[in-house]
Amino acid sequence: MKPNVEKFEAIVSTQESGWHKDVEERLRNKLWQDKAFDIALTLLKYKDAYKLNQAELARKIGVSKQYINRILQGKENLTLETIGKIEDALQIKLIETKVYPEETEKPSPSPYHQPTIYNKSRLNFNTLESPHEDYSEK
Amino acid sequence: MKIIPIFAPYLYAIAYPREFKIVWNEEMYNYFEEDEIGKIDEFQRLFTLWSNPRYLYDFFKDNAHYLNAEYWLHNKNQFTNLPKSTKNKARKFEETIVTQIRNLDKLFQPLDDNITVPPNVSNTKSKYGWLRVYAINIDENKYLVTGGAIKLTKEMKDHPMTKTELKKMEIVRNFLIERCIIDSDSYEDYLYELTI
Repeated sequence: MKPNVEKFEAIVSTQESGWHKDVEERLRNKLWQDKAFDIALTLLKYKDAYKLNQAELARKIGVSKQYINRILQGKENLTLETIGKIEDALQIKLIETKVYPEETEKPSPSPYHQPTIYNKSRLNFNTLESPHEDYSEK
Repeated sequence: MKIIPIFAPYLYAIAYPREFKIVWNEEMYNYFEEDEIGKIDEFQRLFTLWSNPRYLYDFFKDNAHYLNAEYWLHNKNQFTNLPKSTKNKARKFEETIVTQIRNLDKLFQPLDDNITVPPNVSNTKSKYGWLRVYAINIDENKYLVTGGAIKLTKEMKDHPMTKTELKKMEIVRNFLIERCIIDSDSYEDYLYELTI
């Protein structure tokens, strides 16, 4: 080992990066976190459009300041009850569901739906095998 | 200042102490818990911010005037929802770094775009769209992340955020030079980067 690398290794901390835990959580919770992100953006735009501060938005919805802070940071896996409560309080739609007419045989996949590709199997932490992707600037 | 392993022996990141106000400024207290301040490393801090809707919304709102720059106007169709596209890019960026961990030399390039072959150039960047991770090259395929940014302007010195990143690199470089981990041969290159 080169002397400078040896000196470098000698001062590396034994502390582990919390990034590993974060990325695992982002992978595990991707489906709801993507929706939470969109809901947060809608509420942030609402807050600005109606010139509300965070406390006023919390009061309008009927939740605590701490809770609205978590929602605006996309950290809350909201229940249908909470989503309904927010929609009702602000008179906006956060999520839409489609009711299929009875004569429809089965709900068809949305042409806009992109199946998740950011899954754990692509990021193999044990072997760090490369899927041989292009790593040049996108 | 601590050096935290991300993927040893390839990728490491600096964790700046709480007193280091150019990183842990008041704004950061909006996005991190009290016990995270001064503890988490730059790699974790960046990807946490780049997945936070409130941070990204506020960032693009506060920097709206920079989006009139030529680069952004030419790519306007991509940017109907900048916070969301940034979050998606960050996920891809993170994935690219992980999957290419043994090829970091190809992922990181000299900070100065005019330098194509990097003799004695240790200040590097990895880019994915408008996202940047800045790092110091320690050895072959061995990098120390000093920070990163959402790059809004062509030159780093033209935006306070990227200007701060140069400052952080300077501090870490000095830290490594003092400990004889890198030499000061490439310091002139660094000073040149500061002036462009």
